[in-house]
Amino acid sequence: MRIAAAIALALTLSPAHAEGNKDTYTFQRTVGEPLQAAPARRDPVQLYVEANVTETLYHELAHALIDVLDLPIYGPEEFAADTFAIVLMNRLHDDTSVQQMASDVARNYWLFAEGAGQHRDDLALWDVHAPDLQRYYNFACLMYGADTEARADLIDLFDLPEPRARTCDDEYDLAARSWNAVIDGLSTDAPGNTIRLDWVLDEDDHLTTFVRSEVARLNTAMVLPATVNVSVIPCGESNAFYDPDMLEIQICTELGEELARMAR
Amino acid sequence: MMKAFATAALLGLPTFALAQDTDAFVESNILATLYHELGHALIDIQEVPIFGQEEDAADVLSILLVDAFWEEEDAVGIAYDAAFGFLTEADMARDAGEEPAFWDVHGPDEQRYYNLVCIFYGANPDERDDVAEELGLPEERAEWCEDEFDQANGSWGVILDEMAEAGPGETFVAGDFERDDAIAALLLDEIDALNAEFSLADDLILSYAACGEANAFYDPEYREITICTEYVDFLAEMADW
Repeated sequence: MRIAAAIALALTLSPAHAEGNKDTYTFQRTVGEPLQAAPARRDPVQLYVEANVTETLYHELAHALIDVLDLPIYGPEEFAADTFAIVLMNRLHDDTSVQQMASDVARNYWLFAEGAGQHRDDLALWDVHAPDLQRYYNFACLMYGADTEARADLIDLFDLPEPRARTCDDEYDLAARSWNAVIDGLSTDAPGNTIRLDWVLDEDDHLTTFVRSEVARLNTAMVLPATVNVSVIPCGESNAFYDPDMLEIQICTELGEELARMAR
Repeated sequence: MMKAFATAALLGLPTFALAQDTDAFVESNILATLYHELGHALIDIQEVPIFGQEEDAADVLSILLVDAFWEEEDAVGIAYDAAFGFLTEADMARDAGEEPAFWDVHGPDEQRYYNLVCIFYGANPDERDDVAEELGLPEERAEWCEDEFDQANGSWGVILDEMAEAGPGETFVAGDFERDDAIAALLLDEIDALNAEFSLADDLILSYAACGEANAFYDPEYREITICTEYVDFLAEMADW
């Protein structure tokens, strides 16, 4: 019997398990260098770490925004966070940097997918975190979809099957329309100082220096309704988290070390 | 008896007898599919912002509506059948020697299965403990399902609320109906029930027609959902597979 339903409109959002679980990546040059710096020969290992740390920082920032802004999420929050990272990378960085970052980030997803094993019987498909290979293809599709003409070569580079490639343009449009509306709302009063570097293990190491520069970039682009702290500290595992109780993003120093190992 | 039994065994899930007939299996899966396509339609017509993957958002709406529109016994029956729809597809692919297509815009069938079971369980954990157990939802996932349901319900609830505030209307429109069978009657009843409660920002056409493949679509150009007659036939084969 179909009931003429009173739909339960529970408006309580639950930021309860917003921690990320990514062993990941990033991208690019530090603030202070000229934006269009001639291709200064950067250490590829550092570039790999930077690309993946950027993606991770943006991913965790998405969890913070979903929490602080009470954003409506209609599927796994992890996918929303992955999507935000891609939209923000495209918004805050020039095309050359984005493409450089994209290949390092994609490679990192791929390496993790390989490490996890791809056979269906080895995968925990019940887990809220999707398999890395699925995140790899979502990442590849949206990066290509952001500019299907200029980035047509990404289809081959990322080995994106044609039936999926066909929908990437629309997929990115929807992602960008949804997230950019949120970011536009945060950018009206920018620059600001609502993202704050908090605890760090070593003021001067590469990871901390780089995260500091990214935090500065984010403050230039947006003002959040609450202060979100970013710490670069040892966690006992290679990971990154958002802690909704403390409004704090933790980038584990172990993550930087593991990324450097993977880059080699 | 459906193939679902064997599938459950393959996945290492507890086995159990499920006495649902072919017609019920087909109808349940058509409803779940209709609600999924309705998700795509609402995202377009009601301009719902989607921060993650649209296919997941549509899956989430589907199971929320199964839970919200149907009384407990029916809701449980539909949820089981829809869950087994995913498992059987996974099983058929496995038999054909196919690996899960991680590149696909839809998640792997087993993932969609667990998302469905989790949210359905999370909607009423007190009464659906046995459902979670029978359908093999791991405890590590089960403990978050109430939160997952709350988040999903809070998000889609706002959209459904807007549609309900617009009042009853005639924005759900019957299009091509190439068959006059039980599925046609089911779809027409759904149109009536939706019109009795909701209005959309623009008309949405629902058609039941041959498409050349076993599938269902939302076409944003025409704002039309098509349930393919081939898909209904395929579900009947699946039930007896």
